[in-house]
Amino acid sequence: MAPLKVGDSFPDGVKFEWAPITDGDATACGIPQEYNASKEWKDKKVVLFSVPGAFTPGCQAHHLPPYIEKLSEFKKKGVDVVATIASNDSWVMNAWGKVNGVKGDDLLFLSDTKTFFSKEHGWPAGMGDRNGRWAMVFDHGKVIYAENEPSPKDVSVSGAEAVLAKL
Amino acid sequence: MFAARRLPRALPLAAPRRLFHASSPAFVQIGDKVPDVELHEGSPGNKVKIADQLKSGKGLIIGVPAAFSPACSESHIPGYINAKELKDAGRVFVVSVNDAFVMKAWAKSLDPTGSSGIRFLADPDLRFTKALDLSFDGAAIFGGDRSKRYALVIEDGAVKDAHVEADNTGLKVSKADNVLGKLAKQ
Repeated sequence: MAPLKVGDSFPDGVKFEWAPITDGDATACGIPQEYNASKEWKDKKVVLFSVPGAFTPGCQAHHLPPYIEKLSEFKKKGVDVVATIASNDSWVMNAWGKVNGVKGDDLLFLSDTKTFFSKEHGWPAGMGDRNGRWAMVFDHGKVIYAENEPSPKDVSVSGAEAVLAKL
Repeated sequence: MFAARRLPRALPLAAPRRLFHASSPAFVQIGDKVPDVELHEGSPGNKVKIADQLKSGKGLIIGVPAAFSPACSESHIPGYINAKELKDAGRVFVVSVNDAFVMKAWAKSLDPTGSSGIRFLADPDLRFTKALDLSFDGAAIFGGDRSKRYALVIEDGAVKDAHVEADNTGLKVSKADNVLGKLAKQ
């Protein structure tokens, strides 16, 4: 399927798996539940960025931390939800968030391994079955930003700064 | 013991890959050699030949369905880390169908200083797990095939004892006190 582009509507029936972060201990396992993004994001401004893998060098060193650091700046620009997806199960995503000091739902760590949003509506990494590195912004169900990294090793158009600049 | 066992992974010469079969692989049996598969430690580039590591002496391979998941994190692996008989078990490896980065992070969360000596290895493409016929269809929960929960007691490169959870993910026979307790009695 073609990747979403600016002007498209956020598809119906998009569900991720989500193990909410309820404490800071990465050895206490999260409990997965279904997260109905189509429903939750219908009336919100949402920044979604996709990474090939939790805990992997690029994602951990360059992609995730700026989003965490700039959470308040996103909120100032009216963003209701910041979320990340990767091709890891929801336990690994939960742990990745905890290890990075994220609390509660400040930043949602969602698993894309069941419904393959990145494959269906985004871009793949070109490495096995992994999600690509990209970012999208949805405003009340409409796509207002959708950019894929020219190379999954870089963080430019999908990085926090690039997205903030467009908001 | 050898006569009763099918010959291990050797295929007719025409087959390009030694470890994969067209017919179903034999479920791990006592006497089987540790599969000669490279696993990853810490990063995908860091390959470890687990069969070489366990070539001689005592060892233990603990398989888990998923890093960071319940039972695996909360009781299965901590049970081994905290067991006083761990030092008598030889070289202990935990293997899971996750990538090496996830295994490294998981190891760090369970054993931050590495003091237990347990090594966490990744089997991201299931080759090791399938060679032992210890995978199961975890698509509903994990999005793909995963390793059953098991503990294999290894001696001089071969399986001496196999404790495989009959329901794939339960935590009974592969628990530390069962496995290490049996070791102590031998």
